[in-house]
Amino acid sequence: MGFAAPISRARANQAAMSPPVTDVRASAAARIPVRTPPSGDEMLQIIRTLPDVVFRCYKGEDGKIYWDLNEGKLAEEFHLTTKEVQGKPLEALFPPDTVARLMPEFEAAFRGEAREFTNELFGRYFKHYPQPVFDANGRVKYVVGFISEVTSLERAQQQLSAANKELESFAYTVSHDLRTPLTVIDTYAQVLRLQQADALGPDGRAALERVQNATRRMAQLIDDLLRLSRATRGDLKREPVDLTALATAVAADLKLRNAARQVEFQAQPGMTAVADARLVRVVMENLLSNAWKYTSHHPYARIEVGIREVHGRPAYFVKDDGAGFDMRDADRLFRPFTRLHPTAQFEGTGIGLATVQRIVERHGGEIWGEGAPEKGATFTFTL
Amino acid sequence: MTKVLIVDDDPDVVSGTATLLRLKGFDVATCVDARQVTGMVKAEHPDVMLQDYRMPGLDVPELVAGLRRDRESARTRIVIFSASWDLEEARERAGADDAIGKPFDLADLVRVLERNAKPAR
Repeated sequence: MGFAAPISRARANQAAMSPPVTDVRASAAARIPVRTPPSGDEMLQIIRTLPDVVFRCYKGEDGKIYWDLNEGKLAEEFHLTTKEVQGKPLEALFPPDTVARLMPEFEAAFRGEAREFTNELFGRYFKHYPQPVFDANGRVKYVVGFISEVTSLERAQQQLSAANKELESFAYTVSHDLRTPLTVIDTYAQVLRLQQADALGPDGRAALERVQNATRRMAQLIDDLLRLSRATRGDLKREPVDLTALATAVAADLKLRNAARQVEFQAQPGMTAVADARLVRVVMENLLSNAWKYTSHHPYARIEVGIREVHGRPAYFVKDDGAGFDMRDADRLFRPFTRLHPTAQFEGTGIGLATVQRIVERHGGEIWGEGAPEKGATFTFTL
Repeated sequence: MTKVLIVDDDPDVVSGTATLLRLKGFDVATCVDARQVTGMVKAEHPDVMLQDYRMPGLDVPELVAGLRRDRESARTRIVIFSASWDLEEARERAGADDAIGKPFDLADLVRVLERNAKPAR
């Protein structure tokens, strides 16, 4: 198939931003005088002008952590400049809860680990990046780093997470409250069908059946919407997942529900991934039930799940020989509520692939589709 | 005849479901008032109760625990009847025997009620 895997967005941007390479060094050297790098004092001046803190600390003979450099606007504001902190160990400089937060991070840095963490002090948030510097023997000589204030970012994140929680509970309430009137409609449609079948006549019964079908579609839509909103939230719990077993189980379930269909299903043995098992199941269910659905107008169908390599990473694919799609529509496949086929031909809510894409992207992966009308479709994803 | 008590705060859901179950030959009692649920179970001795999971003024896990403690109501099987998305989670939280979603297919509802009406205990 004439299809190339997408270039990652970052790489595409990089390529677009890089200027054409021409050697300008010779002419530039003639015009721009080379200056000597700043001296120690000038360097200190530069650091003191920055809004952050640049520091260096070392382990004293008593095993405690001391600073011999702590400069920048933030250090000034907190009266923690080099002059003010010299000779005082970490535990003498901060309130006890801050000491408890900083100590394990700095101890880890002195063991040779580069750290990155945020701590709260007086209602403000600071991001620390302590980095070990090693001597010729590979021992940590001292720890250097910088500190930036991230209060507004932290606040925004807290608000975002509160808003997400609210949205989650809103989604649950809405789904519950939408389903209740739907239950009433469906229940009374069933009452009519059972009690008034004769009075309704064939036209009335057909009308009733449409009411019930629409009810079921709406119930499905509510379910799908909630699944989509769930796919983007909650913790991602990565664990080894047996994709072959998962695909086989999902396919067995589909076969059971469509016993009359002639579908040859094949899953490549030994496929595994490190991913969130619950979410990957949603991916497999969506892709396989799509494959089942879009081959339903054929007397015989073949569906295959396999693994191949794309840019050195394992990529999993679900391939069918069904209705397919026009590659000109490929970018619309993953848009929520967008459907390439009319409902009369293939039922659906247009949320499945949007959900799949969100799950794949949450895993840091990519998904793309290849196909041709009536030549089948292949969906490939990385995790 | 299997006796079913339907508990739900939506009177339309209750009466529609009751009509369907009567047509299917069940003996049906109904309750739309959270305060009367326990009294109804003790008075009616249903084989199965179909209990809405989210009912204003009713803590369902507490209700289930209370009914289980009382000898008069302990043998009634409790089926969660819920429009919640995560049905199994609702059943587990309530400590109920079974669950069925709303909207429901009548054949499914009958199957769930029957398998609870003739438990192996």
